Amino acid sequence: MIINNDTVNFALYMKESDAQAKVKSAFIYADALKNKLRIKKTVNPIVLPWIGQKDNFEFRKGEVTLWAGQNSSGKSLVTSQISLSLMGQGEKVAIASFEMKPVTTLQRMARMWIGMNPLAPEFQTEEGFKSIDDLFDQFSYWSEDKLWLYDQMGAVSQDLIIGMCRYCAKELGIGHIFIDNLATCVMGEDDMSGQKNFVAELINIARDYNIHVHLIHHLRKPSSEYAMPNKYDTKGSGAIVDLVDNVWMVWRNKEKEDEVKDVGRASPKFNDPDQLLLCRKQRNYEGSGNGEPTVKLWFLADAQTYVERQGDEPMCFVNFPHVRSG
Amino acid sequence: MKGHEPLIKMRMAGKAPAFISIEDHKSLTSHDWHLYNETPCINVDGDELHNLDLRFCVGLIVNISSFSENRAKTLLSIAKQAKARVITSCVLIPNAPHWKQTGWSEIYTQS
Repeated sequence: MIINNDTVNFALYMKESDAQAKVKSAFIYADALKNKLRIKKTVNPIVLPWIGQKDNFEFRKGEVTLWAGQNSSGKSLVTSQISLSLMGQGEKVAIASFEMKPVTTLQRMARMWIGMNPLAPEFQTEEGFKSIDDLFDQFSYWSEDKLWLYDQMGAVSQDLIIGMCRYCAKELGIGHIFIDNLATCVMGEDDMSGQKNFVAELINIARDYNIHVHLIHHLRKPSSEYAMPNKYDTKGSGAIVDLVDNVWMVWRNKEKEDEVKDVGRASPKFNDPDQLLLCRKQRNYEGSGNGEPTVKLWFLADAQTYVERQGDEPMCFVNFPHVRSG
Repeated sequence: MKGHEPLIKMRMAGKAPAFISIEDHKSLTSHDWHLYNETPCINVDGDELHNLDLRFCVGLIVNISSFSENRAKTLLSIAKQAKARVITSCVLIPNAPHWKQTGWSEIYTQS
């Protein structure tokens, strides 16, 4: 090899051209563009648990999804069900819930997974305990290399959350991180720039590590408990909705619940859905269907899960679509 | 990308090789060229080209070879933007002897 003295001040050039190197001709993306179209056809998209929505919404890598709803509107239930579905679709999931202990989160997920109420009277016998233990063991075995829980309750510093996300993505290869919820990560409801910076940091992590971050967030107190929310009802900084890639509003049909409590089946609302998921933003939707779907769901109290048709069986999360065989 | 780190180290130390090769196919020397005083060989086989940072090419003579015409052209474009002094880029035809290598090629000289 012939080596000469360098005529270029290389160290200086590297320093000065840092920004230039990021300005690229569209031509060099030609291969990536073609590959993207091919990958679309061959790789199964990661979708919602409800098969009727499979063409309408996709959890893409490198994105952040906001799940917003009022108090006890079912946000945690819906996202728990979605996390089980993601695991059934072969994804690794981490849940950082600052309002529930890990064992409570697991208990809820295990109940969804087995599709039954383990506290029902028929299971309160020695034999019943044993069969529930067996089912819970099966759940633990199934979720062993799929599910991680962040063991921290109450308020937590943003740096810790960011560090946890990096660790999950980089060291554990986790593809979906659920953060429940924004209020516990940013102190002060009026700290608008704090909220904006935190969400921007989550977006960077999602992009850098090619993962999907799910952020759960509260809505402002509504004028009525029955009122359906829109995306501008989210608490705190309006920039949150602008920054994230996808926005889902979680709405519980309290009006139906109250009427059914009063008049039972005679209620004209008896057949209405128990829950609505309203997609109000899907930045990178490329399909030809409805990119901002409204998902009507019915609640199965024993399984604590939502199904997309009244009378449907609880889901089987082991496979996808989540249909029980036999 | 493989083989670029020793080259960057060399250039940071104020030295420049007479020329380098960028190979978009299996390379025999990209992992250890610096240990045997061989011509710097950078391997980009299978890499996403739009993610490559070829700034180590600045001011150098660069020989590019690929089995794909599109990738050979793309690498030429990236090396141009990285301010390489002279670039040759060509398509190799697999398993053909050198006198039958009739694929696309281009020579670029920085003006």
